Amino acid sequence: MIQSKNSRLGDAVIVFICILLILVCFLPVLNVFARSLSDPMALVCREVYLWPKNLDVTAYTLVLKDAKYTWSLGWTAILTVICTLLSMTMTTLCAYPLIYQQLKGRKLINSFILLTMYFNAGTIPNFILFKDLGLINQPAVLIIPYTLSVFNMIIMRSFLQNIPESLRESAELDGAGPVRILVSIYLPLSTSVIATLSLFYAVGRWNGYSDALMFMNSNKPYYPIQLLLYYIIQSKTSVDAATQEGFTSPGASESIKAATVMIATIPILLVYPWLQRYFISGVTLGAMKG
Amino acid sequence: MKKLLALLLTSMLMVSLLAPVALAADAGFVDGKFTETRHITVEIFDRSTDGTIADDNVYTDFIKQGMLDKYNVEVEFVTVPRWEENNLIPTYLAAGSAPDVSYTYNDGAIYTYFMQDAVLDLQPLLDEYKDLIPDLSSLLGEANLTWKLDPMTGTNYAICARRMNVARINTFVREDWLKKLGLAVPTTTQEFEDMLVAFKNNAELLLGADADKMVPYAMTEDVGWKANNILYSFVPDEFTTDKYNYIYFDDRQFLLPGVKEGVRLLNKWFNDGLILQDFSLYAAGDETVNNLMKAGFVGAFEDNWDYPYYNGEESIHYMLQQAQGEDAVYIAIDPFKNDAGVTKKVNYSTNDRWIFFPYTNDEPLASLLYLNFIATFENRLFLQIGTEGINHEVTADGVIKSIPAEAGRNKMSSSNNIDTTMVINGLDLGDPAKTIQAMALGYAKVDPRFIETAYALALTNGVSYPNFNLGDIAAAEGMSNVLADKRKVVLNTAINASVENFDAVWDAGMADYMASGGQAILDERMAKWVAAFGE
Repeated sequence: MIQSKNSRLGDAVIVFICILLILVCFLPVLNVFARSLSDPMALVCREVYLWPKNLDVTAYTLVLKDAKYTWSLGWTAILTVICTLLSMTMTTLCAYPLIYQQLKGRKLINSFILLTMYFNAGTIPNFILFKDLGLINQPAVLIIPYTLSVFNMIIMRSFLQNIPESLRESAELDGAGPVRILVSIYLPLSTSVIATLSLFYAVGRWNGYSDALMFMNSNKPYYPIQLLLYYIIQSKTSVDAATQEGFTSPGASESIKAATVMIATIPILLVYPWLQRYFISGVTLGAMKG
Repeated sequence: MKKLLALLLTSMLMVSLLAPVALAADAGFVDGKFTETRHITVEIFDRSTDGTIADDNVYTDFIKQGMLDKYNVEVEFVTVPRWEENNLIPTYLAAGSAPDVSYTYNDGAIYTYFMQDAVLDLQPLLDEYKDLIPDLSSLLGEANLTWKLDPMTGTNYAICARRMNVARINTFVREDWLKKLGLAVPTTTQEFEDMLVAFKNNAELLLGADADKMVPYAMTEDVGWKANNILYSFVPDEFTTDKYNYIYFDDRQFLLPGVKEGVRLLNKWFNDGLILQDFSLYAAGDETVNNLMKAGFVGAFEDNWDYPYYNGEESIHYMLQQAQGEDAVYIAIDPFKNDAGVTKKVNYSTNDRWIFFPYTNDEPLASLLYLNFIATFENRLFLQIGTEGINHEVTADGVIKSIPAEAGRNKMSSSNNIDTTMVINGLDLGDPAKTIQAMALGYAKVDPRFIETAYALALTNGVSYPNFNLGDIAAAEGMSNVLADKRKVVLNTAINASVENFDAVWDAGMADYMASGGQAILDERMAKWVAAFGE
């Protein structure tokens, strides 16, 4: 293909911008990584930028030796798997019927569902609701309320709508019912969107801490790892508390903070390469029609 | 039928009229003890301290057992994350699930809910049961019990915990640098400035290869705090009275007459290169400036009275010695004199947390007795110092020295169990001298002489302003964060200005501050003061 000078220049600019964006995302991670592996004194003297100085793995040994973190990591992993499976099941079961033209009140149902995207009750009504449901301080409060994301459901619905209707009709002629059609035809054709949405759900759950903070703060054994991380960082930086009380609570050292951040981030980062090949087709296909 | 309805309505009215009376008197309380076991829930801050469980340890057991034995009250603790109280307490109040005995530093939130009848008025309870809570009354005193007593309506929505230690802000300098340069400890503002200049001019001698990292005076964007003693020394002595403290409401004293001249001096220092040049970039929680101190590049600064010494092996004191040798230490000094030649500074008032009962509390007497129980000297003494041999040891001269406890049920989840003893902040051994000695020994890796000096200087000529509750300031509603941000902007832009532009920048900033609500609050406070006490 022959390219004009202009388009080559355009490509160069795009590549340059992409590289910049990559650096903006990657360098802070590298910095935290370097800090987690450096001697605390080097951190204090501001000598650590992108490469560890005086390699020191004490922070990692300390964090990994603490049963609190290892248990929380394991629990968060289990929680993520449960939530992802459950969310995908519910998302599929919600999206699938909505592609049937003959579903009565389809538009109404769609509008009701859509409404929840724009109007949210807010923290206090949610708190009261969960309290009345007996969910406060129960691990289930981390699972049930966020089982379905409307946004993800719409992506799923659009994706399913893009699968030719004739496939469904021929299956119907062969005598297959809606469930059979879903399992044997739609799901095998939807691997990319399933992978993508699973990733959305998994990352959301793994990174989430505010629900645990509001609704489950008295149930320590079931703290997700991000909430533990939040506490470690807060206890060090809560200057308001220090001024109120006239003294400062001791906090974790900077290298321990960095090591905890890395330990909480690496597992979910490792998931990306596995799902990457589905990722782009999954998101864009869903976006074509909606 | 009509008669029946009328009867029903009348009886309902009677019941509703009688309800408040029923709330006040508690017939089940006989000879100092409830005849049937009562149950209350009590808030406890949770700092997620390693090796502890905030609501399940030796101390919570002590309280539970003690309350059951003494009053026949069963206590259940409810944890609230320390750093989230501002979000969680209002949520709990709105949802009707706040613990029976709750506390927060955020009195604004309690007031908001009090206005909506979601918080109990404590004054009738305090009046009715005052004979049953002698220890609480003697610890807090009338001032703290009635801190929030409204002079017009007679309502009182919170009890104020007692702050024992009112030391606030100190000035610190590098003792080893003074010695190296043959300088005496500065005793005036001018000598302090000369010292900063000497630090700057001798950077090579003091820091060698790191000379370019020299910071004679360090601060952060919170100038009002990080230079508080300097700025307050510019306030004429006649304006350091209760009246002006009440009217010029800002908690960093930034509105008082004279402060502008203090800021002008900081502006000059900044332009002379004596102040950390990018100080405005460092917000609360940023460790950069602390790290500069730990690394040994900072000559002087102001902060909490014991700032360099707390936090053991993570403290500025200890890390600095690791980086620069044993002699490298910060000492507290007290050079800034006002126009009367006095090193006057602001100390804390005796107020601490706000304790309140939500409307869902149906055991007000048991709740007050709870407060009395933890205010009783022997009880709070145990809660503050723990067990001998585990949490503290007694030195040869009879001083209590705290020792770090092993992780587990005996370890305190907060310093002196501040979270378990909601009525008090700060060690109290009964004898002030003993308390100070014990406090000085309580800093791991720090020679007690530094603490004793710092404590004494922080209190020298310190003013601890009393509370004047002259009613609500309508103009202040919802303004505190806005004005605190504006204050930061005014101070930071003024110091960063060139010397010639200083007046213009300061005046413009202050005009904006006043127009944004500052003036309205000042006027209202002035009017309230005049109405209560005259000119």
